[in-house]
Amino acid sequence: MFKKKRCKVKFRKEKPTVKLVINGMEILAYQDETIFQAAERNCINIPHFCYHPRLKVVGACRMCVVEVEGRRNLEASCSTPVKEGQVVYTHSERVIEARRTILELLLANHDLNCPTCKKNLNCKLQEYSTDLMIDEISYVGEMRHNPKDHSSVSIQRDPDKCILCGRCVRVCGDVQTVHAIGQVNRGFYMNVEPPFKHELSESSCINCGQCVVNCPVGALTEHSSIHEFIKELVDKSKTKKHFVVQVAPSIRATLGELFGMPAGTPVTGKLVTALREVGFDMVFDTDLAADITIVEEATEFVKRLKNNDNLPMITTCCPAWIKFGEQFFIDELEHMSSCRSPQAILASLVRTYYAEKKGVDADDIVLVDIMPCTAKKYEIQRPEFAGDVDYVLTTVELAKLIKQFNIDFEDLPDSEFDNPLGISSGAGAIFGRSGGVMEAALRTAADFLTGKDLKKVEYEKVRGLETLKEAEINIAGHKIKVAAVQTLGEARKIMDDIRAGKSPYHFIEIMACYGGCIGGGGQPPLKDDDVLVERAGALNKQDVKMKYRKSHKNPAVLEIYKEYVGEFGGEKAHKLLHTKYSKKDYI
Amino acid sequence: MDKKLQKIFDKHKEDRNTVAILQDLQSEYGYVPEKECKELSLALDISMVDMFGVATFYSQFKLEKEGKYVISLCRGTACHVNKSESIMKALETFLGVQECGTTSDGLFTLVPVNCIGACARAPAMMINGTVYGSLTDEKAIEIVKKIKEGDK
Amino acid sequence: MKTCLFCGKELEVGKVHHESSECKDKISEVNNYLEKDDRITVGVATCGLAAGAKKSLDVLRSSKLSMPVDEVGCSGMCFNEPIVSVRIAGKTFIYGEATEDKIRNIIKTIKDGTRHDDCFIGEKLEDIEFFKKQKRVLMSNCGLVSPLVVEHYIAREGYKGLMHAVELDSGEIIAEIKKSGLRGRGGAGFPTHMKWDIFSKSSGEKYLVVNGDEGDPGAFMNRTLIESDPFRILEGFTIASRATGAKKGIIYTRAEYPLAVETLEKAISICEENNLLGKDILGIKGFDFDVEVKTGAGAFVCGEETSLMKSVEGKRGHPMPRPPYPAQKGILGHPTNINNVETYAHVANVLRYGSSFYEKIGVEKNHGTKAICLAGKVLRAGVAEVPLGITLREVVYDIGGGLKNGKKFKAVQLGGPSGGCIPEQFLDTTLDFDSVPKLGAIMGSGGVIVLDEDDSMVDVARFFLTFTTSESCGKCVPCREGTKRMLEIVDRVSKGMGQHHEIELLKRLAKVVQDSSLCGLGKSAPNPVLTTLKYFGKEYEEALGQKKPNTFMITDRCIGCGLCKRNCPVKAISGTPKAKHHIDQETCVHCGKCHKVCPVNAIDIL
Repeated sequence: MFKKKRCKVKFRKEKPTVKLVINGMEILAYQDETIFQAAERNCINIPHFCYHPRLKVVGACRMCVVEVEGRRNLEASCSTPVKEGQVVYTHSERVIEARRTILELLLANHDLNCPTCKKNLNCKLQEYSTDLMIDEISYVGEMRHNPKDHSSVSIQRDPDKCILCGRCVRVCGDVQTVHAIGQVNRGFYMNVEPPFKHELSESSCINCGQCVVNCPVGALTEHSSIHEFIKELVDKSKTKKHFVVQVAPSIRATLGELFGMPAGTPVTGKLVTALREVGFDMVFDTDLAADITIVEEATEFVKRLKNNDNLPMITTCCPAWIKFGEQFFIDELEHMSSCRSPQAILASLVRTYYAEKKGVDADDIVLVDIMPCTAKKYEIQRPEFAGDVDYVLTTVELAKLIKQFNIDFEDLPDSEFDNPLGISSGAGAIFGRSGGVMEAALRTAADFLTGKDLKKVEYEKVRGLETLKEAEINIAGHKIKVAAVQTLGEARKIMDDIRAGKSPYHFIEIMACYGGCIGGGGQPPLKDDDVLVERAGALNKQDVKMKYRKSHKNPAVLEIYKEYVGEFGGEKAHKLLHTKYSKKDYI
Repeated sequence: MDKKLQKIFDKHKEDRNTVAILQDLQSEYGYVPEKECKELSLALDISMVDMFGVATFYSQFKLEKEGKYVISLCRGTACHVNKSESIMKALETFLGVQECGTTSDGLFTLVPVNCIGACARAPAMMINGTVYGSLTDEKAIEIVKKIKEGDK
Repeated sequence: MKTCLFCGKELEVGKVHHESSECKDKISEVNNYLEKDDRITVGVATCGLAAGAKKSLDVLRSSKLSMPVDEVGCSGMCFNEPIVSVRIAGKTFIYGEATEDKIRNIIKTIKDGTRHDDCFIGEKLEDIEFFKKQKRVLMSNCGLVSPLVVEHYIAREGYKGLMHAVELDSGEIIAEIKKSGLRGRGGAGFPTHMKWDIFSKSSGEKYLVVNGDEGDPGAFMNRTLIESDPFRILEGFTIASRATGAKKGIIYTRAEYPLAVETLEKAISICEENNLLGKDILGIKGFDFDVEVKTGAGAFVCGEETSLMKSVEGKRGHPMPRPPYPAQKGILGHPTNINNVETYAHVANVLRYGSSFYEKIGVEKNHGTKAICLAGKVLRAGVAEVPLGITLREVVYDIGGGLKNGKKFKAVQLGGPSGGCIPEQFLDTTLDFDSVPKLGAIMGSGGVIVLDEDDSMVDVARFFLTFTTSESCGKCVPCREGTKRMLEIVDRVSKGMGQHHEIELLKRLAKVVQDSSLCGLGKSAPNPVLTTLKYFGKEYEEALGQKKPNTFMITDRCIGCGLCKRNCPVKAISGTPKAKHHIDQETCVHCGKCHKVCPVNAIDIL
């Protein structure tokens, strides 16, 4: 009955050597594994809240306790190393009793408004309570109560739903080094909140949403714009507004998961059809804007490289990273590319180029962006871009929208993006994964520098799940050292080096989320890192299939420049496609 | 950065120990002030979340100004079985404050504390470092009265 | 030490004084001063000060007596404070409760060289009942020497242990500790040599820590030791550094002990001045040990090793799962060894008197003495040093003198919030690290609180649960949520509002909290409940249904604001806005929350 699970991430070349017995079954584990990891690799699932493979183990929730022969108390499997000859029970009566009690205790201090919770049916507390059949809560008494915080445009906090597993705090502090929220008070009154009773919007939060994807319950959720959007959509016949939507590169590789499809199933065609069904007049592809980003960025880079001006240059597609830089590295902002993010570029073109071409009043356009990211909700509120985009919906919100419209997603026929903002290259497609922007930029920069149409388009060294990927490339006599960085903790190290004047790089890609946009704060929750491998794989496959693999070869891009923008990196391009950064204060 | 803060900064720029910094802030300002925390947070690269998290974890730290005299009434076991609760009530009534409250004249703050180790002289209380033992309701009020009169 | 404290001449490497006759004479001079010459001592440790010793001292000092008046620590007789000891012409009179008013009468007798009968308690400590069953090896200086005069400590064989230790290598010191059978005095009684052995093998920068975070309510022996004889702790600590190779020492103690902190800091600087701490200790090249005092900021959980380390690092004191063990990865990632105050003091003794001396005290596997704190309803409350293996009966009746006010004995509470209550039938149990846990309690740091017939055991359980609930760090679910629910149940029971099934529920919950909590605090938090349930279950039964639970009724004063409805934990209240609400009595759990939150006082209690 136990099938060996095929793990891409956890697969190792060497053989496991530690023999132990779990639930009567002899299994082999690696020396450095914990009971939890060994069990998981052998398809024994142990319930857990606070454990996450990429976060520091804290052993707080105690859901993963197991019985280990010879030990007086139950042990948390997440923090107990395997040992030769260990005899472990993961689901004994004693263990179940403990887990049931823990669940009851959590439920006794939880507002049980499940139907109105955004995480309803997607909540670990709910899942385990159902599995362990908690049909009654024996404990009544005081409940912890803290005010809700809806101040942030990206993320909402409801502390009364929090189970204090601390995953958000660890991802925000340890992984992102942002420290926007932390644990305060102690004991029964412990809570997770921004410092000194401030609201999230005043904190150092960079809106990346990693706390949201890491929250096993409904305590941290995206700030949804669905209702406002639907209201406007319903009034369409009266207001005669023109509804336009753009879809970010990563969405097509992740949305399927929310409809029960395996990770990495590309759903581009169905996605476009679904958006038309919802009622959009035009469905555009952010991939095209990604191509434009690359053309502009590569132009900027080549110029900076030749003049040795403010190197390394850093990409600026990620709004969470931008706010991070504006808060913590205000003295190093000249390293950032002035190029807008693909979302902002497409929005700008919709309001100008498209509106003109289509002959509609720019103000009559309702533009909705489907993004993998909660920080994009913040980006559209930046004064530089104010008014360009009306709503940002995350992948998770889009799935809800599709369900609300009763659209049978799985059975939808495929259709194509609309023109003129619908054609893209393979370079635009890979924007959705970490290393993608770098790879796409190198394809174009290499051609620009050599003046040739180079065959080499793949730069494998910047792919993968390492937080820092480096490569050195020789192009036309230039030795270019590049890095693709994911997570802001890693970015901080890179920035510290730059500040200290010892950064070896010429060009750096920074993405706030692990995996890049496919692991964004608005994406479906991650079961494990294998999911990220699948999602990235889907984008890479799309890239390979494309007729054009380089942004500057995309005919739609060339036409837009010819018709409207003018030169690459020219004056109009700067007005429409570039921006400025400024210091952001936080408490 | 003002002088007081500069002193704390100089003392802790090496160890960057949050507990010790907050202890110094509190002894300098009488409580943990947010503005000064922020300054130190930036100067020492300690996040505000850590500052606030530590300040709310340990019972020693106060986020608001305390009274001139802090009455720490022991709530240890020996004091409990010797009726310290009744003394708490008596002092609450006398001072007109609740547990952890500060009198309106800013003179007294009444806080219950963990065992101060004067169990053999239970029930006991400590006022600004001085321990008073073998209390009764009347005796406790008497002591506080005297301090109040002495302060005038 | 560069020069000898006694003769002023240069010292040999590894020595604190010379073996010359000149030094020996000087040392016996000090000893004569301490034990034979005319002298008055006043105990000015915290308990003495709490009883008014400062005033007695002032009066004595201002009355121009012909002999010195010294401030000393606490002999342990806290019940008799302030204690003034007068020695005239070879005769000693120990006076108890020598408060300001009485001291004037005593002064008169001093001038006459006679005895003042009123508060006289004995001529020698050994003659006083409180001390008869004690075995004083740790506290032999307490109340005799001036705590901060290192010459006093050395004259009374101080630093002999360290001088012995520097002649041995690391393995030999640890072997000596092993032979003595010394077990950690902080609670669980883990063999000290095993800890040191693992720790001594780690390399690089490492930390030695004295755990003086005596947070148990009812325990103050660490405070007494620090305030009365700080050098013994520092000597043991230095020996530990010699044995394990650690060059950094941290003494972690409580901010609630201002006098102890001050004493320690002064003692450390005295040691540094005299080459007993710091660089090249005793002139031995490379024997460096820097010690600093860190005060906790008020969190009981910081007595737990991993959370103590967090606190030392300046972070929130959340315990961490083990492994990694402190000996592998402790403070700031460096190997760390933590022992209790008393353990280090014992180390000094073991090296001073030899392991065989310790072997002879106590019972099997439990050697040496333990300082205990007697408090509660006992006649003589204070700190006593007893041989391990003494019975509880001896402690309560022989040392403690039985109960106050002629009340009947009910139980002793051992080990504070992590311990348990032991009833009369087990009074002949021996006090040691193996017997006490069998009864569901723990030795803990050694707090012994005597309870009499007036004390409700349900209330005692409630008291300790209130403590653990407010001291839980909040990290793990069973402790954070579980202790709170246990407290609520016990609270209802103690108020006569408990229901029958709740006792079962309490037991079940207690077992899970014990079984699945992360750290020692949570794991042992149910002990007071479980032991009182086990030995005094009848009291719980009696408290049940004693009082009919309050019935809450919403009256016509209700304005229909809905506050009660929103606050009801069991959704027993119904009603539409602006209309009178209604409580479903079947569902109601009588918690009274609605009554509390009602803004117009519309809910009556029947």
